[in-house]
This record gives sequence, C-alpha cells and structure tokens, in this order.
Amino acid sequence: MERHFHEDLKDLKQKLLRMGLLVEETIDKAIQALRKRDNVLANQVIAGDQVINQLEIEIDDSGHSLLALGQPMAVDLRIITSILKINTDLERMGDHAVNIAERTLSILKDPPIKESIHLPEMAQSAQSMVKDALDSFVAGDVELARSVLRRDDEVDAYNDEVNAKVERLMENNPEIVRTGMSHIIIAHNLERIADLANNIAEDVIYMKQGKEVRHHIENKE
Amino acid sequence: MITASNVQKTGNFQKEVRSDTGMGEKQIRIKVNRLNAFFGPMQVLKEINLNIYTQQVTAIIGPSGCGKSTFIRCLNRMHELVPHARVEGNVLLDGEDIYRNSVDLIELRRKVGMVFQRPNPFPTLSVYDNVAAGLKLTGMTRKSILDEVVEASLKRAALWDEVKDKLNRPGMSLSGGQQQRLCIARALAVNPEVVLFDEPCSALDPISTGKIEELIHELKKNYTLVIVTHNMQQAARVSDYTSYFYLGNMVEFGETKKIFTTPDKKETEDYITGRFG
Amino acid sequence: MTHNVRKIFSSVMVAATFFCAIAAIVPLISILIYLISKGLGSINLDFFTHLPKPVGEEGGGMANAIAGTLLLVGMACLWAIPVGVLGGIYVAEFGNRKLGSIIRFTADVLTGVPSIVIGIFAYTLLVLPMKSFSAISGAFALGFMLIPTVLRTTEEMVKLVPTTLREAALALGISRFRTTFSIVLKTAMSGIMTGILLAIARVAGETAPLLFTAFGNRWWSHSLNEPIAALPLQIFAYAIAPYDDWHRQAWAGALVLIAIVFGLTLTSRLLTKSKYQVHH
Repeated sequence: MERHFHEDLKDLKQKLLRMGLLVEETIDKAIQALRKRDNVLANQVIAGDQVINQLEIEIDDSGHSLLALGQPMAVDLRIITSILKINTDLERMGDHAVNIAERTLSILKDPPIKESIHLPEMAQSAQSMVKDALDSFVAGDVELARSVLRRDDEVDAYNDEVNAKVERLMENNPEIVRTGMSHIIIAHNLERIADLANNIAEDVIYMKQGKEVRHHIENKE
Repeated sequence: MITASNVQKTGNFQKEVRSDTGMGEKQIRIKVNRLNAFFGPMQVLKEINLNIYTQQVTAIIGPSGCGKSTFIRCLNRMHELVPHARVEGNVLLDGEDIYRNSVDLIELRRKVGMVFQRPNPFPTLSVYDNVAAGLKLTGMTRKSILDEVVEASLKRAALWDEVKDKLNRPGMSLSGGQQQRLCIARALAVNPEVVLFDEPCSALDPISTGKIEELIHELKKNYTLVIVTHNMQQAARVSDYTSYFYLGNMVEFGETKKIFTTPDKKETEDYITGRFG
Repeated sequence: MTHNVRKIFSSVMVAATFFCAIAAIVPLISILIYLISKGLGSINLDFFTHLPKPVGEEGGGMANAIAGTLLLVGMACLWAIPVGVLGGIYVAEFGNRKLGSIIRFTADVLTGVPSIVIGIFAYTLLVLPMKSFSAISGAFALGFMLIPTVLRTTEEMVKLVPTTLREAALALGISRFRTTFSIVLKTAMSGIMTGILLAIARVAGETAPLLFTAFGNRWWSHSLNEPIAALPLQIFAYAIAPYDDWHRQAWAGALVLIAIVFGLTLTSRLLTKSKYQVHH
C-alpha cells in the first residue's frame, strides 16, 4: 500500500498546479486588459489577487506540515522544498500581474500609443515561459525546463528594446511621458515575470536531478 | 458471554467504515479524568487529564520513565496486574468509568485491546488458532464463524495474503513483522472498539515498521487507536493527536500538526527538537 | 619464558578436565556394560511372560514383577501428577503469598526425606489400618516421592513462561483461569512432561518405599488390596538368595529396570526437541 504521506504529497502537488493555472490565467487576463484597454478585466485581476494569496498560505502551510510530520527524504524532500519556493514565485508573479493591471488602469486615462513597441510580443514570450515552466514541473520534464532557461535572455532583450523605443518616443513627444512611463513599468513587470518563470524552471531541475543550476553555476563550472 | 448472534453482530466485518462523525465534531471515546497511578508508594502518573477521540490515532510521547506505558495500561486495567499497583481517578469509556465496582473486566479488555512491544503470539498455537484464541477461549466454538472472523481479522491486519496457505503453521514460524501483525489480527478478532499499541515497532526492522504504520493509518477508519512510542517521528507520521508526557505529568496535548510545528509549551518544543531528552 | 610455562599449564589443565569428565562417565558406562553382559543372556520371552518358579527350580520369569512395577508406577502417577502439577501451578502463580511459600518449602523438605521413611509413613497410614500390604499403599508411597519433583518442575516451567504471554491473553478478555490452563500451562507443558518423565524414571527404581507397602508377591495379585510384586523388590529378593539361577534373573531384572529408566529419559529428551515449545 502506498504510504499515506505520498498521497498527501500528491495533494500538495495538485494544489500547486491549481495555483499555477490560476496565476497563468491572471497574467493572461492582465495582458488582455492591456491589449483591449478593458478596465473591467483589469479590476478583476486586482480583486483576484486575494485568492492567489490565500492559496499561497495554504500551500505553505501544507508543505510545512508535510516536512514536520513526514520526515521526507531525497527526492520527496526536494519536491517539497521546490514546491515551497515555486509557491512563493507564483505568488509574486500574481503581484506583478496586479501591477500590470494597475498600470493598465492608469494607461486608460491617456490616449493609446500609436507606434508598435513590441510589448505584446514581449508578453507572449514571458507567458510562454511561464506555461512551459509549469508544464515542466507537472511532467518533471528537465529538457523543457532547460528550454525555459534559454529564453530568459530573449525577454531581457525585449525589455531593452521596449525601454529604448519608449524612451525615444518620450523624447520626441513629451505629452506621452505619463503613459510611456507606465509602459516601461509594465515591461519591467513582464521581465520580472519571466525571471520568476526562470527560477521555477531552475527549481524543477534541482528537484529532478538534485543538480544546482541556480545563479548559472553550471555555466561557471 | 459470546453467543452466535452476539458474535454475528460484533464479528460482522462486512460493515466497513463505522458511522463517520464528520470532521467538525469529534466524539470523545475515552475521557481520562485526574488519573493518578502508583506502584506501591511510588507515584508514576500525576493528575492526567486527556481525551481520546473516536476513530483518531492518539500518540503518547516522552522520554523513558515518563509514564506513557503505565498510562496506556490504565486504559484497559492491565496496570493493576502488577502487585501493589493502584490507580486513582476516572477513566470514562463511552461515558462509563472503567474503574467502577460493577465493571466487567473481561468485557472491558475485549473492548479495549492491546498490542505489545515484542510480538507475543502464543507459541503452542498455529496462526489460525492464535487469531481465534480470543474467541475460542471465551466460548465461541462454531467453526464457520471462527473461519470468517480469522480471515477478516487477518485481512484487516494486512497479513492474509502472506499466511492464507500457512494457517496451520505455528504462529512462531512467521517473521518478526508478520508476528506483530498476527498479534494485531488476534486483537482485532474479538472486535474491540479501542486498540492500544505499546511501542509496537520497537522490536521491528524499518520495513516492517513502515508496514505497521500504514496499517495503523488504515485501522483508524474502524477503530480508535492509542499508540505509545519513544520515536517521535513515528508519532508525527502516524497520529492525529499527540500528548507529551514528562515525569508522570501530561505536559501538552493537541493536534499532531500543531505539536510538531508550533507547540505551546517550551518543554514540548525542547523535547521535539532534541534539545532535551 | 613465562609464555611457554603458561601454555604448558593450560594444556595440563585442559587434559585434567578432560580426564575428570571421562572419569564421571566411566562408572555409568561400566555399569551398563556389566549389566548387559550379565543380564542380556537371561532375557528371553519367558522372562517377560512367566511367573517365578518355586525355589530350586530353574527357569521362570519376572512377569508379575514387571507388571507390578508398571501398575504401581501407573497408579502413583494417577494421583501424584495432578496434585503435583496443580500444586506447582498454584505456587508459580500465587507463590508470593503465605500459602504458596509454605507449599514450596514443604516440597523441598519432602525431596530430602529418605525413601525408607516415606515407606514407613505409608505403612503406618495405610497398611496398618487396612491390615494388609497392597498395591494401593505402594502407589501411595511412590506417589509421595513423585509429588515434590513434579511440583517443583511444574513451578519452574510455569515461571519460565514469559509474562507477556499472560498479558496477551488477559488483554484479549480471556479469564484468569483460562489463561492459566489454556495458555500458560500449554506453553509450559513440554518442559513439565520432561520433568515428569524424569521423576517417574527415578521413582520406578525405588525399593525402600515398597518394602513395607507393596511387599512383593511370588504370584499374580488379584486385587489392589493384596501384596504385589515389583521389579526392585524382586531383584533385591533374588540377589540376596543363594541360588545362581536367581542371581542370573536378578541381573536380567536389573537390566530391564535400567532399560525402563533409560527409555523414559530418552523420551523426555526427544520431547525437548518439540518445535512447539517455548524457546528458553
């Protein structure tokens, strides 16, 4: 018979997945709100943060209980500690999505920027990283996790691009400074979301292989 | 007296989970009220107050000599078998004090079963006869009922598959872990309501220990369990409620999760973190 | 230097202990050899089936003596073994109380009483009132010699049964009585049987208690109230007589007696190997 500890561990994983899906949806909603200039969606994102925070507390609590009561070893231990870290990262992603929504509400007060500043592409890239990071956790797919690590530079590049473009626009049209700043901040939040997805992917690799890949240690060796 | 219809009722293992009281309201199966226990002039338990909840596993932990074994033996009145041992206070089983004058000791010990530290199957009896001993030696002779109860008990103790072809082999021919599960089956055969475990895994290897821990987890669906253990990790793994005893005093009692993550008393925390004892 | 001295000393001591051990066994072996050589020739079917012939005549056997011994020992067992076993159980389970220690003490004293005294006791108690020697008084005397040994053996064996077995039984809701008899006694049984067999082996060869009780008989006894023949008595009677033929038969009788004792001891040994016993 399977240890009831492992059943509890399964439940914990399920909870984290739910959290992951919720955060993915929230990020998506925030991007949609920005693209469609929809303040209703933006407000939903802001209100929904409470649920994410509550879930984070539950997962944290369950994870600690399992550590205290189950004395997990080896892969079980790594799974739980990874879950606790990913949990925090997900909650932060939720916070960044809220930031994006709040910035969006601010942007709505001003007319839209006509030039393309590649924010949607950046969002797309960041979102796919989040999705793949979570999928790699579900499947324990180390290769998929590694592919996420490789794309981090991509998003950083987008961030630089957006910053440069918006800066130029602001230099030439002072009246778009307010909305421009908001766009830059949104880009910054997207870059942070991508970083967090990167962290999650690193945690997945550690969890599966016990290998330390954080802070690019592998590259240094 | 065990009669056929009596055992049919009490030995009816067809009914699976007893009526679930639900998560909200936990029924108290045993209420320990100001229990004091003595060996002659020496007091080993001091004013113990404790609740044992129905269909939950309650663990008693504490360093050697803290009185946990004595406590558990007060719950089925085995403590007083030692010469000059006595008890003050009440132990209420389903509301009735087991120390009252009119109590039927035999019936009490049937209702509150016990599994001991070292596996102790009866050496002259076969596997089958060991499990059936509690029924046979209290008057049940109908083979059909005995067969049914033996099989059901062995299944409940997760031992049936391993011994179903060896029922007539001596009880002592089984391995240590199997012998302990045999003793569990033997205790279950008389259809108790509460089962007491006195350090049941001390004499077993880790794999057997793991099996018994999982078994305890299963058993709580149908029985109320109290387990004494000197291994606090085991208490953490297995129990729903934990009580920390020290020098005959009940220091703290609470949900296992709380005791092992945020205990109220510093003494409890010191013991659990290994800073003491 | 001292190292070699020590080595030599050690070898000498080992050799000495070896020879002492041999010396202990030698008497037994020589008795056996002597008995066999002297008595085997006289063992034949007649010996087991015929009564003693009248004085002076050759031939005959010890059929009545052999049967007598078996009967006397059997009857002694019948009354002494239950008393001894039950007494042993009482002392083991309740031995800390006053009565228990009195019984134990009495049994110990009884073991030391000379067998002739027991014979006289049985004579005074039974033979005089009944006004005859009898199998009953003989069995009574022999039983008296059985009781202390059986009681003490039972007590020791019962005490050896681990407390945890009693606890297991009581914790199941089995009564004290059933626990003692169906669990504890059963577990101790093979040890007790061994003790009983050894006690019987010892008592089977006793002569003194039978001198004034069974008395001996040249013919078959027809009631339990008559004198009865017994092997030890017959051997004694023949051995001190002046007839060679009787001497010859005495050896044969001694051989049969030893064989009985040997057989009982061997059986008890085999019982010890039973797989169901408590592992001491």
